[in-house]
Amino acid sequence: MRYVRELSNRNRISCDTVRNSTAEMQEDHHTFKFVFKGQQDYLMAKRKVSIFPDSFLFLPPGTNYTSIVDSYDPVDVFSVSVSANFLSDFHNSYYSSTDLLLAAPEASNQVPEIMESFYPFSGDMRFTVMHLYQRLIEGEADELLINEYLHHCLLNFYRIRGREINSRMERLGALKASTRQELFKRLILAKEFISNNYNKKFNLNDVARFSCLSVNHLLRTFKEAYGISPYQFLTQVRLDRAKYFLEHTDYQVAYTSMLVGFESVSSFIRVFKSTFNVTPLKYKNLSSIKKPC
Amino acid sequence: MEKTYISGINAKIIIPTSDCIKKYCELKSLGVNFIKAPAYSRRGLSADFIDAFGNECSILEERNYQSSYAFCDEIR
Repeated sequence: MRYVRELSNRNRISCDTVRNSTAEMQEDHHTFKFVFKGQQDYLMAKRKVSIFPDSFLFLPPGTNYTSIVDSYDPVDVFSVSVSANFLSDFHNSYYSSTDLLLAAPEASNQVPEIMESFYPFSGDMRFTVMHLYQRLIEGEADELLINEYLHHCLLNFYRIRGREINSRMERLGALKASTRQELFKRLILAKEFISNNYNKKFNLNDVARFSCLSVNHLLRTFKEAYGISPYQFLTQVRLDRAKYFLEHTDYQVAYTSMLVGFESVSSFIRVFKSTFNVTPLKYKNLSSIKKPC
Repeated sequence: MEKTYISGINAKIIIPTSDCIKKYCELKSLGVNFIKAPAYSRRGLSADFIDAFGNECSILEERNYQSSYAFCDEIR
């Protein structure tokens, strides 16, 4: 289904189902990119970010990128753009309506620069976006309602950002704020590398080289910020995506394990069971019972 | 109009909904005066209003934050 809608306040929503497409774009709004099914790659100035259904991408205005979908199965992509005015109105109301105004008065005036990055697509953000998507499928035309959803998208995004960036950055041991910021940017690169290459074989040196940190520094700061080691994060990503494949495809357990990058099926089953207390096959059967179609 | 609940009991009427934001906009356009815009809690998303009889009501969309992809399936 292809759908594009521009509201009178220049906010824009679009969704599409594609198999093969390459598009070069320049973003003029603050944009959120989602994928409900499959995988979409974004190339931005020497950087590649792959978006899966468990994450979403934020792009600030002025970002040049190429989006690529190359898949046998159809990929559902969804994009939400908000204008600079909408965001600054939201930003002011967000900081003036809560106690945060007292905590961070300097933040109330200007929208801070938000760097492009990917964030976990879960919790309230997922609920809000899926509701919005459902309303659009049903042909909802009320702009007020759609703007209310967009307002909540931003609300959810600010909360995710606060949790994923600000509080994690504060955990870093570096004394100077600018050092923490720079370090954190590199950790995001490390996270991106692991998430993009989750099904390939790589070692810590590759991650360290990509994120411009030494192996020791990477290990120490990654754990400081995220509470888990890069390897634990990789396992988490692999298991999450394995869960997705088990729920949404007919792939065998052995094929799924290979697809998400496990070297042996037995180690996949062992790790899956110790994390979720259920074997992959049982999980697959359970999710197919829940889904009669 | 008189309040319908027994005086002294401070009860809140909870109205379950599948989409709190949609319900909130619908009721608001019908002239319902909300005392609390949709706000997040552990249970999900809820908004409060006082009905014509003075009862405190809350529309609540319960959200299961445990299941990562289940919600996607529901609407497909």
